[in-house]
Amino acid sequence: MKESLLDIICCPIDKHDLELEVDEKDGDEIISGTLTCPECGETYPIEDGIPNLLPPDMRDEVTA
Amino acid sequence: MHGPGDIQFFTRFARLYDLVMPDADRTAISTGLQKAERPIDRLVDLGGGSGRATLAVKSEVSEPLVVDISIGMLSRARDRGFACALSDARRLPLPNASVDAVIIVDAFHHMPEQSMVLDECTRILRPGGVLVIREFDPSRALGWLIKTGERLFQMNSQFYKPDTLSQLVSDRGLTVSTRSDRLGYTLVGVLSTHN
Repeated sequence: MKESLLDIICCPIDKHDLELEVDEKDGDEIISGTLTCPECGETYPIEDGIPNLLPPDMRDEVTA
Repeated sequence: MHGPGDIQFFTRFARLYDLVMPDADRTAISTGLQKAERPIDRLVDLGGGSGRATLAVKSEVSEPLVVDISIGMLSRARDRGFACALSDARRLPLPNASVDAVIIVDAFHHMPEQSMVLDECTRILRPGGVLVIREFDPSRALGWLIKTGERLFQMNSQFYKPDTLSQLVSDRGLTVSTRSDRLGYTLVGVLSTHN
Protein backbone atom coordinates (compact mmCIF):
# COMPACT_ATOMS: atom_id res chain seq x y z
CA MET A 1 0.00 0.00 0.00
CA LYS A 2 1.00 3.59 -0.49
CA GLU A 3 1.13 6.06 2.38
CA SER A 4 -1.59 8.13 0.67
CA LEU A 5 -4.08 5.33 1.47
CA LEU A 6 -4.05 6.72 5.03
CA ASP A 7 -6.09 9.67 3.71
CA ILE A 8 -8.90 7.21 2.92
CA ILE A 9 -8.91 4.38 5.46
CA CYS A 10 -9.68 4.52 9.16
CA CYS A 11 -10.20 2.19 12.12
CA PRO A 12 -13.09 -0.19 11.25
CA ILE A 13 -14.31 -0.08 14.85
CA ASP A 14 -14.43 3.61 15.85
CA LYS A 15 -13.59 5.23 12.44
CA HIS A 16 -10.67 7.18 13.94
CA ASP A 17 -7.63 8.02 11.77
CA LEU A 18 -4.82 5.44 11.88
CA GLU A 19 -1.11 5.89 12.61
CA LEU A 20 1.43 4.12 10.42
CA GLU A 21 4.60 2.31 11.42
CA VAL A 22 6.63 0.98 8.50
CA ASP A 23 8.69 -2.21 8.75
CA GLU A 24 9.56 -2.73 5.09
CA LYS A 25 9.30 -0.49 2.04
CA ASP A 26 9.92 -0.94 -1.68
CA GLY A 27 10.06 2.51 -3.29
CA ASP A 28 6.84 4.24 -2.19
CA GLU A 29 5.11 0.90 -1.54
CA ILE A 30 4.78 -0.15 2.08
CA ILE A 31 5.25 -3.93 2.13
CA SER A 32 4.86 -4.56 5.84
CA GLY A 33 4.11 -2.57 8.93
CA THR A 34 1.44 -1.78 11.47
CA LEU A 35 -1.51 0.57 11.57
CA THR A 36 -2.55 1.68 15.04
CA CYS A 37 -5.71 3.39 16.16
CA PRO A 38 -4.72 5.95 18.81
CA GLU A 39 -8.36 6.07 19.99
CA CYS A 40 -9.04 2.40 20.83
CA GLY A 41 -5.44 1.14 20.76
CA GLU A 42 -6.20 -1.63 18.25
CA THR A 43 -3.46 -2.55 15.77
CA TYR A 44 -3.85 -3.73 12.18
CA PRO A 45 -1.03 -5.48 10.31
CA ILE A 46 0.14 -4.64 6.79
CA GLU A 47 1.32 -7.85 5.11
CA ASP A 48 2.52 -8.35 1.54
CA GLY A 49 1.50 -4.77 0.79
CA ILE A 50 -2.12 -5.22 1.87
CA PRO A 51 -3.52 -3.67 5.07
CA ASN A 52 -5.58 -6.13 7.10
CA LEU A 53 -8.41 -3.94 8.39
CA LEU A 54 -10.66 -6.76 9.53
CA PRO A 55 -12.07 -6.19 13.00
CA PRO A 56 -9.86 -8.25 15.38
CA ASP A 57 -12.62 -10.77 16.15
CA MET A 58 -12.73 -11.73 12.46
CA ARG A 59 -9.03 -12.15 11.79
CA ASP A 60 -8.78 -15.78 12.87
CA GLU A 61 -11.99 -16.72 11.15
CA VAL A 62 -10.79 -15.44 7.77
CA THR A 63 -7.11 -16.38 7.80
CA ALA A 64 -7.79 -19.88 9.17
CA MET B 1 -19.24 -24.12 5.24
CA HIS B 2 -17.25 -21.26 3.84
CA GLY B 3 -17.29 -18.63 6.58
CA PRO B 4 -18.40 -15.03 6.01
CA GLY B 5 -18.91 -14.35 2.32
CA ASP B 6 -17.82 -17.76 1.04
CA ILE B 7 -14.19 -16.72 1.55
CA GLN B 8 -12.55 -20.11 1.36
CA PHE B 9 -14.00 -20.74 -2.06
CA PHE B 10 -12.58 -17.52 -3.46
CA THR B 11 -9.20 -17.95 -1.81
CA ARG B 12 -8.94 -21.31 -3.54
CA PHE B 13 -10.36 -20.33 -6.91
CA ALA B 14 -9.03 -16.76 -7.27
CA ARG B 15 -7.19 -17.51 -10.51
CA LEU B 16 -10.04 -19.41 -12.15
CA TYR B 17 -12.53 -16.74 -11.23
CA ASP B 18 -10.48 -13.93 -12.68
CA LEU B 19 -12.17 -13.82 -16.08
CA VAL B 20 -12.62 -10.88 -18.40
CA MET B 21 -15.49 -8.55 -17.50
CA PRO B 22 -18.27 -8.83 -20.11
CA ASP B 23 -18.93 -5.60 -22.03
CA ALA B 24 -22.53 -5.63 -20.80
CA ASP B 25 -21.26 -5.32 -17.22
CA ARG B 26 -18.79 -2.60 -18.09
CA THR B 27 -21.44 -0.51 -19.85
CA ALA B 28 -23.97 -1.03 -17.05
CA ILE B 29 -21.54 0.06 -14.34
CA SER B 30 -20.42 3.08 -16.34
CA THR B 31 -23.98 4.18 -17.01
CA GLY B 32 -24.76 3.81 -13.31
CA LEU B 33 -21.79 5.92 -12.25
CA GLN B 34 -22.94 8.72 -14.55
CA LYS B 35 -26.06 9.14 -12.40
CA ALA B 36 -24.00 10.51 -9.52
CA GLU B 37 -24.80 14.11 -8.67
CA ARG B 38 -21.18 14.91 -7.95
CA PRO B 39 -17.82 14.23 -9.62
CA ILE B 40 -16.53 10.74 -8.85
CA ASP B 41 -12.99 10.80 -7.55
CA ARG B 42 -13.07 8.22 -4.80
CA LEU B 43 -14.70 4.90 -5.65
CA VAL B 44 -14.93 1.78 -3.48
CA ASP B 45 -15.20 -1.56 -5.29
CA LEU B 46 -16.85 -3.57 -2.51
CA GLY B 47 -16.35 -7.32 -2.73
CA GLY B 48 -14.11 -6.26 -5.61
CA GLY B 49 -11.88 -9.34 -5.36
CA SER B 50 -9.23 -9.39 -8.04
CA GLY B 51 -10.15 -5.87 -9.16
CA ARG B 52 -11.80 -6.80 -12.44
CA ALA B 53 -14.65 -4.29 -12.01
CA THR B 54 -12.16 -1.60 -11.01
CA LEU B 55 -10.17 -2.44 -14.13
CA ALA B 56 -13.32 -1.83 -16.18
CA VAL B 57 -13.97 1.67 -14.75
CA LYS B 58 -10.50 2.88 -13.79
CA SER B 59 -10.35 5.44 -16.61
CA GLU B 60 -13.41 7.16 -15.09
CA VAL B 61 -12.21 7.56 -11.49
CA SER B 62 -9.02 8.92 -9.95
CA GLU B 63 -8.97 7.06 -6.63
CA PRO B 64 -10.37 3.52 -6.77
CA LEU B 65 -10.08 1.27 -3.72
CA VAL B 66 -10.67 -2.49 -3.91
CA VAL B 67 -12.17 -3.89 -0.71
CA ASP B 68 -12.57 -7.63 -0.19
CA ILE B 69 -12.51 -10.27 2.53
CA SER B 70 -10.46 -12.78 0.51
CA ILE B 71 -6.69 -12.25 0.61
CA GLY B 72 -6.24 -14.54 -2.40
CA MET B 73 -8.43 -12.34 -4.58
CA LEU B 74 -6.97 -9.10 -3.21
CA SER B 75 -3.42 -10.20 -4.06
CA ARG B 76 -4.49 -10.11 -7.69
CA ALA B 77 -5.85 -6.57 -7.28
CA ARG B 78 -2.59 -5.53 -5.61
CA ASP B 79 -0.59 -7.04 -8.49
CA ARG B 80 -2.68 -4.92 -10.85
CA GLY B 81 -1.50 -1.86 -8.95
CA PHE B 82 -4.81 -1.04 -7.26
CA ALA B 83 -5.09 0.29 -3.72
CA CYS B 84 -6.71 -2.43 -1.62
CA ALA B 85 -7.91 -3.18 1.89
CA LEU B 86 -8.81 -6.50 3.48
CA SER B 87 -12.10 -5.68 5.20
CA ASP B 88 -15.51 -6.86 6.28
CA ALA B 89 -18.33 -5.19 4.32
CA ARG B 90 -20.36 -4.94 7.53
CA ARG B 91 -17.69 -2.84 9.28
CA LEU B 92 -15.84 -0.83 6.68
CA PRO B 93 -12.59 0.97 7.52
CA LEU B 94 -13.90 4.18 5.92
CA PRO B 95 -15.24 7.37 7.54
CA ASN B 96 -18.79 8.69 7.17
CA ALA B 97 -19.47 10.56 3.91
CA SER B 98 -16.01 9.89 2.51
CA VAL B 99 -16.54 8.35 -0.95
CA ASP B 100 -18.30 9.39 -4.17
CA ALA B 101 -19.25 5.92 -5.42
CA VAL B 102 -19.62 2.36 -4.19
CA ILE B 103 -19.86 -0.47 -6.70
CA ILE B 104 -20.74 -4.09 -5.87
CA VAL B 105 -20.39 -6.26 -8.96
CA ASP B 106 -21.57 -9.89 -8.92
CA ALA B 107 -20.69 -9.97 -5.22
CA PHE B 108 -23.64 -8.76 -3.13
CA HIS B 109 -25.25 -12.22 -3.02
CA HIS B 110 -22.13 -13.62 -1.30
CA MET B 111 -22.23 -11.13 1.58
CA PRO B 112 -23.76 -12.12 4.91
CA GLU B 113 -26.12 -9.74 6.72
CA GLN B 114 -26.80 -7.71 3.61
CA SER B 115 -28.87 -5.10 5.44
CA MET B 116 -25.75 -4.15 7.42
CA VAL B 117 -23.79 -3.95 4.17
CA LEU B 118 -26.37 -1.53 2.72
CA ASP B 119 -26.23 0.55 5.92
CA GLU B 120 -22.45 0.78 5.53
CA CYS B 121 -22.69 1.80 1.87
CA THR B 122 -25.10 4.59 2.80
CA ARG B 123 -22.89 5.71 5.68
CA ILE B 124 -19.71 6.09 3.62
CA LEU B 125 -21.35 7.82 0.62
CA ARG B 126 -21.14 11.56 0.26
CA PRO B 127 -24.38 13.41 -0.59
CA GLY B 128 -24.95 13.08 -4.33
CA GLY B 129 -22.81 9.94 -4.37
CA VAL B 130 -23.92 6.77 -6.11
CA LEU B 131 -24.29 3.09 -5.22
CA VAL B 132 -24.18 0.69 -8.18
CA ILE B 133 -25.03 -2.99 -7.61
CA ARG B 134 -24.71 -5.53 -10.43
CA GLU B 135 -26.53 -8.74 -9.62
CA PHE B 136 -27.96 -11.85 -11.20
CA ASP B 137 -31.73 -12.01 -11.21
CA PRO B 138 -32.82 -15.32 -9.59
CA SER B 139 -36.17 -15.16 -11.42
CA ARG B 140 -34.49 -15.21 -14.85
CA ALA B 141 -32.85 -18.19 -16.57
CA LEU B 142 -29.17 -17.30 -16.22
CA GLY B 143 -29.60 -16.03 -12.67
CA TRP B 144 -31.40 -19.22 -11.72
CA LEU B 145 -28.58 -21.30 -13.23
CA ILE B 146 -25.95 -19.39 -11.25
CA LYS B 147 -27.98 -19.61 -8.06
CA THR B 148 -28.33 -23.37 -8.53
CA GLY B 149 -24.65 -23.77 -9.44
CA GLU B 150 -23.54 -21.92 -6.33
CA ARG B 151 -25.78 -24.13 -4.21
CA LEU B 152 -23.88 -27.11 -5.59
CA PHE B 153 -20.72 -25.51 -4.19
CA GLN B 154 -22.54 -25.12 -0.85
CA MET B 155 -22.24 -21.37 -0.93
CA ASN B 156 -24.44 -19.34 1.36
CA SER B 157 -25.54 -17.05 -1.45
CA GLN B 158 -28.60 -14.85 -0.99
CA PHE B 159 -30.04 -13.48 -4.24
CA TYR B 160 -32.65 -10.72 -4.43
CA LYS B 161 -35.06 -9.94 -7.20
CA PRO B 162 -34.66 -6.36 -8.48
CA ASP B 163 -37.85 -5.11 -6.77
CA THR B 164 -36.87 -6.45 -3.37
CA LEU B 165 -33.36 -5.02 -3.47
CA SER B 166 -34.73 -1.67 -4.74
CA GLN B 167 -36.99 -1.46 -1.72
CA LEU B 168 -34.11 -2.19 0.68
CA VAL B 169 -31.95 0.52 -0.88
CA SER B 170 -34.70 3.16 -1.13
CA ASP B 171 -35.57 2.48 2.54
CA ARG B 172 -32.13 3.95 3.26
CA GLY B 173 -32.97 7.24 1.58
CA LEU B 174 -31.45 6.66 -1.84
CA THR B 175 -33.24 7.39 -5.10
CA VAL B 176 -33.27 4.06 -6.90
CA SER B 177 -33.56 2.89 -10.48
CA THR B 178 -32.95 -0.58 -11.90
CA ARG B 179 -32.32 -1.86 -15.38
CA SER B 180 -32.37 -5.49 -16.51
CA ASP B 181 -30.33 -7.01 -19.30
CA ARG B 182 -29.49 -10.50 -20.48
CA LEU B 183 -26.90 -11.05 -17.73
CA GLY B 184 -28.89 -9.75 -14.81
CA TYR B 185 -29.72 -6.31 -13.50
CA THR B 186 -28.09 -3.13 -12.36
CA LEU B 187 -29.39 -1.17 -9.40
CA VAL B 188 -28.38 2.48 -9.14
CA GLY B 189 -29.04 4.42 -5.94
CA VAL B 190 -28.22 8.10 -5.56
CA LEU B 191 -27.90 9.61 -2.10
CA SER B 192 -29.81 12.86 -1.80
CA THR B 193 -27.74 16.04 -1.67
CA HIS B 194 -30.15 17.38 0.98
CA ASN B 195 -29.11 14.92 3.70
